[in-house]
Amino acid sequence: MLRLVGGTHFLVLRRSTDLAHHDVFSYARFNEALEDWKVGSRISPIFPIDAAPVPAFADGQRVWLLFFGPVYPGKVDLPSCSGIYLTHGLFNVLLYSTKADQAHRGRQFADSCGTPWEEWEVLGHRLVNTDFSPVSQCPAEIPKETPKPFESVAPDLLPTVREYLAQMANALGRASIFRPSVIPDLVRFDSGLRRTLDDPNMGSVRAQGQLIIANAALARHNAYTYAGTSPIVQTECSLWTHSLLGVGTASLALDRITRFLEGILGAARISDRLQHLKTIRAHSKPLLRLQSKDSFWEDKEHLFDHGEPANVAAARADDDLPLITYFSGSDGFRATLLSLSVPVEVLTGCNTASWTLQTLTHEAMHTIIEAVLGILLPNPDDKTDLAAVHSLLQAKEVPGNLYDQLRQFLAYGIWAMKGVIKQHFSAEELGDQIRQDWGEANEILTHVADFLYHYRREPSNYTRSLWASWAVIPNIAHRTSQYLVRSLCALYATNLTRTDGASVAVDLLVSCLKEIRDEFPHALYVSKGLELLQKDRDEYIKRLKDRAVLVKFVRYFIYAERIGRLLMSDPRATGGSKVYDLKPLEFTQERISNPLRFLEVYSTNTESHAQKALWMLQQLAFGESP
Amino acid sequence: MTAPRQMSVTGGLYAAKAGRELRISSDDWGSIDAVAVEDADVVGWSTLSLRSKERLLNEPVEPAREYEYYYFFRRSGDRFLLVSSDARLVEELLRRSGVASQVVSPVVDVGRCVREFAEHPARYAMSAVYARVEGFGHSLRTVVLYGNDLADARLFLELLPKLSPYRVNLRDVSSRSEIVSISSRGEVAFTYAGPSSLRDVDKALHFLSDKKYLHWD
Repeated sequence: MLRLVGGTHFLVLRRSTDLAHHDVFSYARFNEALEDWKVGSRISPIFPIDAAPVPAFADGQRVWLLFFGPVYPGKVDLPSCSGIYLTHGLFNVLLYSTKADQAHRGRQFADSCGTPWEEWEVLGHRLVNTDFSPVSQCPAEIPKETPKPFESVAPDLLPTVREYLAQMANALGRASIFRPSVIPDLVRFDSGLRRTLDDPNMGSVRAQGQLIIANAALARHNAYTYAGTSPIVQTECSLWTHSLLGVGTASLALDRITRFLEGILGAARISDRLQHLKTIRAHSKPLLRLQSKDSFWEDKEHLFDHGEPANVAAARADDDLPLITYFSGSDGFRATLLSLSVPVEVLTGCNTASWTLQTLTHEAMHTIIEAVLGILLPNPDDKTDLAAVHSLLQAKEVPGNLYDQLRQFLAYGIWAMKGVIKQHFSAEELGDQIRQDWGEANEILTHVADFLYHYRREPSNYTRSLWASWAVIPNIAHRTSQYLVRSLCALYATNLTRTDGASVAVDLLVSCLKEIRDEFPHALYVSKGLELLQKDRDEYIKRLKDRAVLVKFVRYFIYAERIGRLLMSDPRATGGSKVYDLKPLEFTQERISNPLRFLEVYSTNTESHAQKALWMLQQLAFGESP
Repeated sequence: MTAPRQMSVTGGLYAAKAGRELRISSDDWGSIDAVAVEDADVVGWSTLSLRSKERLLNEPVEPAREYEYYYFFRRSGDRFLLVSSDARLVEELLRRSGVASQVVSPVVDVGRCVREFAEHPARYAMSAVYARVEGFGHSLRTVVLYGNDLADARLFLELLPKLSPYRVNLRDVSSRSEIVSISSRGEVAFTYAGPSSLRDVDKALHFLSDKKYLHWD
């Protein structure tokens, strides 16, 4: 069993002033490395196993540094070596040897794992020889003609298209050596993007926008994931604290969580199932008039209990477009229809509620909700569609099918958000309202769905995670009121049928925020939120009631128990809520299979802990398939 | 007397049997040999302690040690609640007081309570329901369902018509704290964690009483 003990050391590679050589140094403290900084220096943290000391480099002494991976640390079995360290790079294991036979055994072990390796022979501080594994020189096969050139490209798009093709070719090439398992994902991304661009309604400006997003995501994905791979001296990472070895294994963790979510939420084909409601007769009464305990809401799971849509039955996993994930120093947690970014602070703080990777579920849910809004809400710029939904809202009769009834319900939900209901309004007014409140409606729906699906309707953990993660974002105090409303909407989702449910949701949030304030006394916005909620209680109850339709929409049309079951299923789960009993910092043979259940248990600390964060990212990166 | 700051307690609701006059006050407990009484900082509640040279439970034997057992007592008119860390201690104290044969526990309509809580959820959520299952003989006799808010789960609502609930645990929806567990035979259990927990139990029992789930006849 490997155990992370001994803090963090730093490995530095320096180019000699004549540019002809490289020298290797190691430090116990980051600031010591800075004091000796030279142009061309690169650095990465290395995390000692079993209190391995800072690797020593002394004049006249020959040592070997073997970088290998990606490999699950629990598999590493090298009892007689001078030091083992873990890293965030795709070469996630570093073996320090002072004897040639130790180095030889290390290479043999890496070969037995089938992982690439790179070995540095260091004399004094000078890197005198570099050797590479045979695997590094035998890339896995990439499907032929991938990425293939686009058949016809508008001249304005040509540079962006070429950049995309080069980025994709680069991603495939690197993956073929270090992560062959992701090649199918990249191929699916390529196909999905091409299908998106082929949409006749796309237009060249929007197409370019999509390509630019894809290029930015691929560029960052490639730069951070494959930095620090062979040849290490040539693959610098622009995230400078990881400039030597990159953050490839941490990137694997992001990929793994995202694929897990896509494999369940994407495969559920929520949008297709909602469209299928076109074939189902509408309820005889307007949905707005149904009581909260009406059997319509609970007797059926509307996503699944109206039969299997033909396009869902025929759908293949290959049809989905997997999101490109990447770390970002500026974007924070952010999803687009093509990409998902994660802040670099996660590398040292994903053990905390503030930087928990559970936030990825929120971003993944945005992708689903945006697709749903795309089909159900009218495009405010499309007069015909807008008029159709407007007439649904103004009509006295019930629509013919459940899909139209749902469009009516959701459009009303957005119309009601402003709190002043006019009986008669124009299609243009409806369009303006949708333009104005689309973003906030998207947030509310996403918050409610995230709470129901990923936080298992547990208010403490949810509000803690939400408000602790907001607390590390500067200059958003003016949004506190919005955050209160979003939190309230989520908590209201389990109190819809309760007498005075809106009031209960407010009391519940007050109680949760008090707990958060006690636990994080310096957290931004929590005290202000609590003060606002207590001072303007009636106003928040009103706002919550104005959004009740949106909450109901998610609870009864987006949430489905069978999706919830899949998201939380784990073969190790027993009666309690705690699924895993892994000891932080230790690597045993046990692997995790459900990243959400793992994050729920282990990303609860109040303070960042670099070693624990690394431990978590490695567990996530090398988890088993459920 | 130094009662534990937190303890799980169990016991029951009691009233005089029909035709008997019986009003037990906290002073009555104090008149029993080896029993001490104190106010519990909540109106109507007292803390009792019973000292015994012999062990009353299965705790390890320690020669020359005196065993001390704690109780909470709440009187309301001619009815009262008596709880301790073990139901056997409650029986023992009732026996020593000489009232064991004079008191009776109410019938609590847990079935109706659970159904109404499911149909019209209010300030209390059900966090556990113990129920008999009739119709499957000895193949399936009993189920227990746990959760933060059973009425919010469709599976529970679907199962409910097939269940005969006999014990329910109530949880405060806003504070998310477990308040009290009550059975159809008037058995009551809760976790004492200071005066506020006693006030919460008071409120919950009043609520159940107002809804007429408790039948004393």
